[in-house]
Amino acid sequence: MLVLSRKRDQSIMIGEEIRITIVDVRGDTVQLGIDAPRKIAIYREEIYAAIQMANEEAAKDVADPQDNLGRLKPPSSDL
Amino acid sequence: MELSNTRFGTIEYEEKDLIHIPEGLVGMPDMVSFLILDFEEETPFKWMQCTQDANRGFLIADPLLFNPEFSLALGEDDLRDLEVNSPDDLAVFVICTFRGKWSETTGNLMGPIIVQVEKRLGRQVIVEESSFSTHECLHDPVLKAEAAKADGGSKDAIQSGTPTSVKAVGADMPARESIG
Repeated sequence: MLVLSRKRDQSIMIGEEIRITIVDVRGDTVQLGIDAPRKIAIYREEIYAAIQMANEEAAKDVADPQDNLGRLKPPSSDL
Repeated sequence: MELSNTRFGTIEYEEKDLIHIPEGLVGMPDMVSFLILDFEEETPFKWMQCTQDANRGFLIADPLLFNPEFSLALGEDDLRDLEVNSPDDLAVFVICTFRGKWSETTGNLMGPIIVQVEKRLGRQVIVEESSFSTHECLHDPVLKAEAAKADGGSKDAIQSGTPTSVKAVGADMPARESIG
């Protein structure tokens, strides 16, 4: 991992399109400003990880179903 | 086309039946096309079968089953990318985890799946700053009681679903059919 030291109001560039600026530092909290193209999704890591984990947990049930939902109807165009 | 797994046997489908989620699910970028299927037995759940991996699929349901206050603020990007012009264009589902008993099934309200129904184009969105969790329990007391019955009718389980929570829901019960 690349580790850089930055002061308040200084930035780093990631490629040509993403700029992360240190907006404020207070105690152990750092406030970041992020400029990035809209197509880049930005999430807090713990939230992304929680959803990823929930997806994996939900998918895991498939192999060993205990839920007894029985058979599926054939596909239909209704949702 | 068809796929088969040990759980459901063979599922026959056509290209037009597919829902496309081009970015994949969170942490599962390869899972990009799905079938959303009903069960033969009446249940508020549906099955979202991945077609890339026949052994992967998800129970999904209406988020209102888990929280009648559920709402979703979509970003401009989501609306544009999925070509959504009105809320009527969208169906919203949450991925559910079965935990041994129906009454304990949870829904991931932080990562709902939105589908533009006409284009059959979907995305799993991440709801940040939310008061919802990835493991929200069933809320609807009637459903909870039914679920408890389906679990084998433990009397305690049925009762725990009904008395106190009815009040909170009031007359305005969440929709238990598919969401429009």
